[in-house]
Amino acid sequence: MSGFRINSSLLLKDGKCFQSYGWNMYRPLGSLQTAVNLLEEYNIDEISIICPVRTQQDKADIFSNLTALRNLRTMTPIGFGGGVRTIKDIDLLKKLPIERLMFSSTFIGMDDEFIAEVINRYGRQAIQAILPFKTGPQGISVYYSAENRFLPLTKKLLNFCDEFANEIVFYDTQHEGYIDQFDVTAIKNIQIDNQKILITGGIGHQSILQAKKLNFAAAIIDNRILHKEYSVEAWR
Amino acid sequence: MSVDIIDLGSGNIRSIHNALLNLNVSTNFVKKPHEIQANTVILAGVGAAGPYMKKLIAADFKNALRDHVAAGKTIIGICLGFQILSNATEENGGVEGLGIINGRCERLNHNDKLFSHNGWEKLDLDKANLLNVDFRNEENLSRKQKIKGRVFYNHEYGMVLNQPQPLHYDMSIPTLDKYTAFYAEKNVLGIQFHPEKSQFTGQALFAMVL
Repeated sequence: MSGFRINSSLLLKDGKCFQSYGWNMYRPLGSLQTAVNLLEEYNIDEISIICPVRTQQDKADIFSNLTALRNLRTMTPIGFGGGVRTIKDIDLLKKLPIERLMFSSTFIGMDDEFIAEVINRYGRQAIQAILPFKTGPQGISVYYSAENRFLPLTKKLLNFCDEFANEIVFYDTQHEGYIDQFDVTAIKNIQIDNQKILITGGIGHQSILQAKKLNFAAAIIDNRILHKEYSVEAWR
Repeated sequence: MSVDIIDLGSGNIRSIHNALLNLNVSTNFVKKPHEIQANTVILAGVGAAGPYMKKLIAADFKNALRDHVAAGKTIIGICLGFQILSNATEENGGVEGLGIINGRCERLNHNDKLFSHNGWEKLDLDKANLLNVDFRNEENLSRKQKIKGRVFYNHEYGMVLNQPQPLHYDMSIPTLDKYTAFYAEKNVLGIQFHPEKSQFTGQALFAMVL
């Protein structure tokens, strides 16, 4: 319903930003404030800060990231996700400078009671479902971190996301950190209004052109944008 | 200069605090009506209208904010805070608003299709237009007379004014042009977009209206 957005993701771990490749390798990028400042300077449309939660240890660590978020000074819209699964977790996010909340396990586990409570507190416009996916002979499957395994992407799950989320982020886990590798063919026929779809994982200039052509809402460039943040304006 | 920000324990008020800090404007988070000290009160909102209005009533702000406006003091409503200034919103099955702005809020729609409005749109604002509707800022933080830039929207409901007002800007995209993006009249300012998250343009707007 609005112009195509070019967003960026930042992975936050132990209060610092990291670059990630292929879902499991990390390389330090520096402080959150520095990374956000660089992106803001080039008018990035939104920044999604994600705490990667792939183990129970990661879940315990996300709360050390909240201090970095609390101290963040920015006038760019911020989304936050990773490890937020209970009302107690939500309470910890009060007064943080974030506009969007991104949930993965909550949606994949179809926890409607929890989502309804989050909508009461933040409004549906603030909710993004994030679906980390991979493709294989069986079709598309999504990573359910609460059980540390991939599950098939079903029509029921898509309908659930469509009902409760303002937007849906498709996160290509097989191509994260690489250029122009996002698997558009995997999702281009999904039965969701394209204006609700954001893509991330392997985004490059060609992926952005494809996403615009398909009338998607946005592309979230992987955190490696920090090596060429000046390209945002040209890609717009 | 100091501004009071209504704090109902929900929504994102930290971003507004940070944005005003950049302008050297101090802020107080106000949890009870008797704590209101400043001439300008900001009613911000990220949340759903029903629970937000319940909290506002429970904290005795409903009459306090009406009295604040009736006394000629300034109120600035942002996003849900703007919508709540209307007579009513259809969110959460219908919620009565503060009745400060003669309008109602509807689920964004065009030709019976429901929409969300997420993203950046142009803003072209002339300070002379604010002065023409007697919207006076206290401090004149900026001598800037015109703002041209882009602002960030994230909403599913929009304000429809019951009658045309001297100063209101509708949204710039044709499918949403019945909804109000910006409203000013005397001491009431309503903003549907998020100036606190609109980078340079948002900062310039705060400097112009405070």
